[in-house]
Amino acid sequence: MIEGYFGGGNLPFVTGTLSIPALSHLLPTQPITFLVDTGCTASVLQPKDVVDLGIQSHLSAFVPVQTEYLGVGGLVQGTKYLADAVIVLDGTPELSLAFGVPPLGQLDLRPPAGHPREEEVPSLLGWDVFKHLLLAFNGPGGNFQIYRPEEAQSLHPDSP
Amino acid sequence: MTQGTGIQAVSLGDLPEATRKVVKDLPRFTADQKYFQAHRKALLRNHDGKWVAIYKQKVVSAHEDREKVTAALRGRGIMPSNAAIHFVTSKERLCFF
Repeated sequence: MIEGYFGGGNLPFVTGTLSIPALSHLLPTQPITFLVDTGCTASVLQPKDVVDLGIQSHLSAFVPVQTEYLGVGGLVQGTKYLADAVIVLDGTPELSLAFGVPPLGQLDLRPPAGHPREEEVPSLLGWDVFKHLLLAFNGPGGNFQIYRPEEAQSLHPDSP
Repeated sequence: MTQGTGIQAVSLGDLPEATRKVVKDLPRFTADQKYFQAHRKALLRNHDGKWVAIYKQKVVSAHEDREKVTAALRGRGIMPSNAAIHFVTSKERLCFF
């Protein structure tokens, strides 16, 4: 079970570690926070973390892909880089998310594009991850949990 | 294991040494992240309109320019990714991510 927390803006976050195998000889495993965003189609490492984790200067190791981002600001053209990556979420036990290994696709690395205040946008764990897991939000209690389906069976043994 | 091998429960002992060290430090990192929300009012009083870096539950740098905050962290031997860095603002914001 992964225990999340409500952070800045009272939004749901989880902490974990990020490793990118293709850059393992250049960059260490580092801690990272992700916003839990079931409305986002794919998990995204946003420019803030691409810069802070030192990935920006190594993006040439990945193939650039032209893409479109649809959000409240409308449709924006952009470039993303797709990478195999391993995220280990803090929990009991820890949960490993291996991007690039089914059922997960590769992780979307989004380089800085010079948009105003883009460094305020947190990295996202999206629907590509959460469609395989269970989320239990306790807003009044100020916490939430993420379970693997196997764990939910043990919590509710009578459920089908 | 959950649907293939891309999502699976692991224990500390299963992880590479480098990852294990960072996972062991996650409670400190999470506490720093939570500090921001728990002390938001005090941070607003002192740092409205600034980026604030929190490390070991203390404000270690604050500035309007985020790059100056990350540079100050590096100057103290702290990797920016190891600190909680947040923008403090009293402005109402509706967030869509």
